[in-house]
Amino acid sequence: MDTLIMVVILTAVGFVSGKIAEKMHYTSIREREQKTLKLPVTTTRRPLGVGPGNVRMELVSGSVVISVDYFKMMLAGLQNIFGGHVTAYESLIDRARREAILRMKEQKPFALQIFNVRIETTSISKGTGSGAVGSVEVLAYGTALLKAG
Amino acid sequence: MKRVQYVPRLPDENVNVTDSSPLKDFVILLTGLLGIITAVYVLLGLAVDWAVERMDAEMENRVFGDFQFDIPLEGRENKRSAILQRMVNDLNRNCTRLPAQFKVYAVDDEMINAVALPGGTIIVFGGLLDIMESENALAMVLGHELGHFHNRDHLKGVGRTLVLMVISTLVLGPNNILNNWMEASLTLTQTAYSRGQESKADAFGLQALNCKYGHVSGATQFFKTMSEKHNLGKVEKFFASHPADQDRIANIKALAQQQGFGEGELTPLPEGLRKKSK
Repeated sequence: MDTLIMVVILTAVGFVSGKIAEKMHYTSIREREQKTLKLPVTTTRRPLGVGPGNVRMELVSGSVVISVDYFKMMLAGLQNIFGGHVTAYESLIDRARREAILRMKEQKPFALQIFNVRIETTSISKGTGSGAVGSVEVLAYGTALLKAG
Repeated sequence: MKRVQYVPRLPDENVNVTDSSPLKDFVILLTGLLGIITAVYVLLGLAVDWAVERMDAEMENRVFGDFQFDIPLEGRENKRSAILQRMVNDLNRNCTRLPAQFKVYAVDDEMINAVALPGGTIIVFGGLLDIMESENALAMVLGHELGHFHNRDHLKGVGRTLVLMVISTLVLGPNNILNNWMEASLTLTQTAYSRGQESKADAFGLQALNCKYGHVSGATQFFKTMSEKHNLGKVEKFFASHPADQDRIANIKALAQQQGFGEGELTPLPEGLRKKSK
């Protein structure tokens, strides 16, 4: 019975705190995406529309670790049983991906563009036994093209 | 060659996140899961009841013979267990005549309860012994537990417990959070027999009581004491699994009248079982 109460409390806390954290994070993401909109990010292997000239290149990367909350974990557990889209984790991965790209862009805000961008996802801190909370790490990296000098 | 132009623009909508209400999904899925578990549990429970009804003592011994409840006893528990063992043996040899060997343990614990476990183990808790006013009342309780063996209620209880454990392990895997609380709540609910099972065991106990003493005085003492205690609000926990004691008293009295069981002199409790004077 105690365990049940703990689960209910943790799920409720996870739901509320997770919702607040997600809302705040999305607000911040949208704001910063607007701010860094002028810096093109592409997956092409060569820089776009730039001839030989007075430029230099540099590796940029941004990474973020976001933890799943207890409510999402329970929801995902249920969705694991019944199958279908694990919608519980969708927003989590989306946030992590966009945050990683934003951090990468913020590393060189005055770059002309960042090309050859790749995104890697790792699940970390899986933990052992029951109740271990998982987190996701998303790493975005690419080549920044900057004006020389 | 035409140049590809880069137009800075944010996407209108996010295609990567499904627009659904997580709370709604959660409630729907949880309800569905609990519904399925309940349905399977009820069906398998009925199957267990069906199988247990058809299981003879020999089969029970083969299945549950390995069920060993090695309960460590200390001090006066040994002496009290021996007295109770003699009472149960005597009761079974002369009256109930169940084809099984019973092992009785008197455990010093405040719990006012007695339980029948598979393999013929009966545990009587100290709290119950302390409120016994006569040997007759105690014989009624022991007869009641023997009644559970006779009706195979103890096997049904264990069968259902196993069913639920298997289901939760299959659905959620071992050692998960939900499984843990299920196990915990299981031990609470499964010690309770249904009302029908209890009154059948009462009837069995009453028969045994009449057989042993020639009358049924003291049969309702336990329930009377319990309902008085209940009014004092001290033992809600016990009553959660043994409801409606007034009904049971009335049932026992009606049954005694119907069977023509009379009243008689109470036999005092054996010396070793009496409550220690404070």
